[in-house]
Amino acid sequence: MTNPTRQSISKQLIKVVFSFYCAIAIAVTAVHILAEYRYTRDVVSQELKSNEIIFGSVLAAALWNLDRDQVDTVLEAILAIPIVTGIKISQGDQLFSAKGIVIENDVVESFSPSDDEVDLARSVDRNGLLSYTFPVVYSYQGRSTEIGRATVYSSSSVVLDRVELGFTMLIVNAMIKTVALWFVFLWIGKRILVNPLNKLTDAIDEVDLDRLDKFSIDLGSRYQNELTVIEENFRAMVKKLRQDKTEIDAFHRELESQVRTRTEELHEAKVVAEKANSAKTLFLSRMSHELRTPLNAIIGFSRRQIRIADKDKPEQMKDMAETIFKAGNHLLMLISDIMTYMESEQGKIQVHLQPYQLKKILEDSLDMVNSTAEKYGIALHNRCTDTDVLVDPGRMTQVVINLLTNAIKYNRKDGEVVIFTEEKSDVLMLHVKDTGVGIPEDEMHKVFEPFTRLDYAEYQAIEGTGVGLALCDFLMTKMGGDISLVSVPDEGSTFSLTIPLAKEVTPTLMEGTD
Amino acid sequence: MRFHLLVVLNSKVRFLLGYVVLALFISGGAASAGQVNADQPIRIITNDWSSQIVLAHIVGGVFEQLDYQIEYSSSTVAEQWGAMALGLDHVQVEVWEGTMSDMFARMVDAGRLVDAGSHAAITREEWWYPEYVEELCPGLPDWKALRDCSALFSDDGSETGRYYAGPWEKPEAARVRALGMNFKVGPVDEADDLWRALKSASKERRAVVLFNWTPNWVEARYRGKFVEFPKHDPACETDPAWGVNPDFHYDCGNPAQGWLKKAAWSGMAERWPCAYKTLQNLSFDNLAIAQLAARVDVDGLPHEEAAKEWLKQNEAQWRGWIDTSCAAGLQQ
Repeated sequence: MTNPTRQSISKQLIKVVFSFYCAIAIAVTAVHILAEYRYTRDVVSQELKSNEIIFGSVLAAALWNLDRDQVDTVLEAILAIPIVTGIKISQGDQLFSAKGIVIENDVVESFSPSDDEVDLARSVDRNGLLSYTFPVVYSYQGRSTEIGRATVYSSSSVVLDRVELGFTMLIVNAMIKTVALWFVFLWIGKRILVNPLNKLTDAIDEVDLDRLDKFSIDLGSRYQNELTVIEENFRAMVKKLRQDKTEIDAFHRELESQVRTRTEELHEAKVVAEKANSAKTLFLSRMSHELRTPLNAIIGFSRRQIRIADKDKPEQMKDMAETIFKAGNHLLMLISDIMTYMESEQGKIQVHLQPYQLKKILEDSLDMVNSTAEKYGIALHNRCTDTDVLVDPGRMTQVVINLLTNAIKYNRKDGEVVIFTEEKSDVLMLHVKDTGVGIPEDEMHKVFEPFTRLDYAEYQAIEGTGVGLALCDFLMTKMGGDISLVSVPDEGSTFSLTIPLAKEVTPTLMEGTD
Repeated sequence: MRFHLLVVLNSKVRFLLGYVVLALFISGGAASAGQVNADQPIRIITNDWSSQIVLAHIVGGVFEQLDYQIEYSSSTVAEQWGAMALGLDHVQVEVWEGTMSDMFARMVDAGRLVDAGSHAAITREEWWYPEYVEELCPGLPDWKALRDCSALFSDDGSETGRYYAGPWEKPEAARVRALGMNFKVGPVDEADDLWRALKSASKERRAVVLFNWTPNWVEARYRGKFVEFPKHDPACETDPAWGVNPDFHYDCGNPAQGWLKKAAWSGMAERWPCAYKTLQNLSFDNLAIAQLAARVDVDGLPHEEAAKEWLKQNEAQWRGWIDTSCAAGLQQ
């Protein structure tokens, strides 16, 4: 995969380094050439000066004798030196002799017969001539006497000719070094920098979080360097990433599981809530029905009692009054149960524990349900012993009535309800056993839930509010007792109350705190 | 009248005053010129042979008589030309044609020296041998005889003869080569070495050939002759094709009738006019020069004494050299 950024880095590196290198190389070469030119110019000047030492005495001897031939011979010998382009000998203001290209009277002149040199003299700028003038001294009788002045000339072209090869070699040398250096730089750079960088970036590009197990990186570096450090660290980072990914995956799975669980729980809660809502709806519906039924009885019998008030039918009047009375009590009990339950939920319910004869509670309760039992054809059998218990008599009566009512309503036709006691160490067990349809095991946990009724009750349209057993459970707990259930489908159910025994205890007020 | 007298007197006074002024101007100018001359000495060159040194002192003595300051400048022949050209030295009393004509002519042509005239003497510088050598080497003075008997002149037992050259630089080796002579050039350190070699050879009557010249004292004491080389021609020194050997210069002898000149610095006539005129006028012949050299080289008289002696004995002669215009300043 071609990465523009990667390409630009490589090109930038090469461009910047190459630009800097070229600039520096050109500058250094230029300085080198300038220094070489100046050095050569100095050397030429020194060589011009050396003519004073080499030819000074010979020239002086010739000039001393005005030997023009010998002077010219010496001048030609000097002129034969490659760097010398001209020489002249002056005595005072007079030019004694000259050879080559010289400056005479501020004019560049040629003193050679060659036309080429004459033309050359015309083309030479006097500023382009180097010159060195020295006195021609002859020692006569131990005293040095200046007998003339010699001026040796060279030109910039001589310097350039001399340094031409040096310049060429300098430039060729610089070019060869540049090419070689760049070849080595690019080769080494590609091998130890670019290739590993490409491998590294390719590896980074190819990192797939879902396929970390298949990740591999090998820069192929033979020596430890920054890139191998990056390679090792990156490899370690991927390894750590792989481990973290595994942990994250596990955590994710765990989280999903928890979410799923929570979702299920929420779903269940929702179902429960919906059930509760449904139960409440059903309760209200049932309550309407339950309340309407006794009310219909109360209203109907009251109206009829008004109609027949003129007639003298005392028995009939009495029956109606009793029916009204029972309907009113039933209605009162329903409302009482609901109010008690509401108070229990609001934590306002109070129980007043006092020693009390269980016999009286049972008699009151049985009186309340006898008519119902007769209605359903259920035989009631009281086999309890008379024992004093520590209870709130009203609440305890309410509990027993609920249990007896349920045992009657959920009993089979011509069935029976037996209540019996079982005294234990400091409690009394009161069992209410029926011969009803029993409760399936998977519905037993619903029995004590408020506003919940068994499927059987619904099918059979058994009247009830669904708060009775929940209220029983609550009241027993408040009074320090308990309620439990043993049931066998198609055989019947036995609700057992655990009731504290009265042991000369001062009556106690137990207030709800929920 | 008084007025006229004054006028006449006035005209005479004017004339006299003008004369006095003119005289003073002329005498003052002469005095100035004499003052300049007196402050700057005339440097007379002395070389390393006796006749020249004695003549230099004779000339110096005459100049001193003219109230000039004199200095003697000991120089070699080779160096004297440059010194005179630059005015460091001013007078040379012996310029020999045979050995100095080229340099002299160059300096004169360059305007650095002036020809102050010739002596009466006729000069020659050449290979010379005692007369008895002709018996040992028949055919002399013809130079070809030396080719046949070179072994006689050997100083080391070889077939190669030796030519006793003077201490002065001369083209003798070139001549030996050009003429095909089996000789080696053996220069001596000083002129006296020549005379010692001559004396020794003469005593043993041994063959010897040496550098000699005339006028010289030798001719007054020894009988001998110059070797006769091919006659000198200026082309001999400049054109190799000239002469018996078409390949080399110097296949000829030195001039046989050479002049002997006096040379002066080009500025001498202007700076020291009387001295210059005197130099022009003086002249020595061969005998006089030979005798003067003999007084030194044979009689052992110092150069200065020989000069004084000559001046004393030949006063009329040297006084005759002095121009009449310069005679006023001559010491009595």
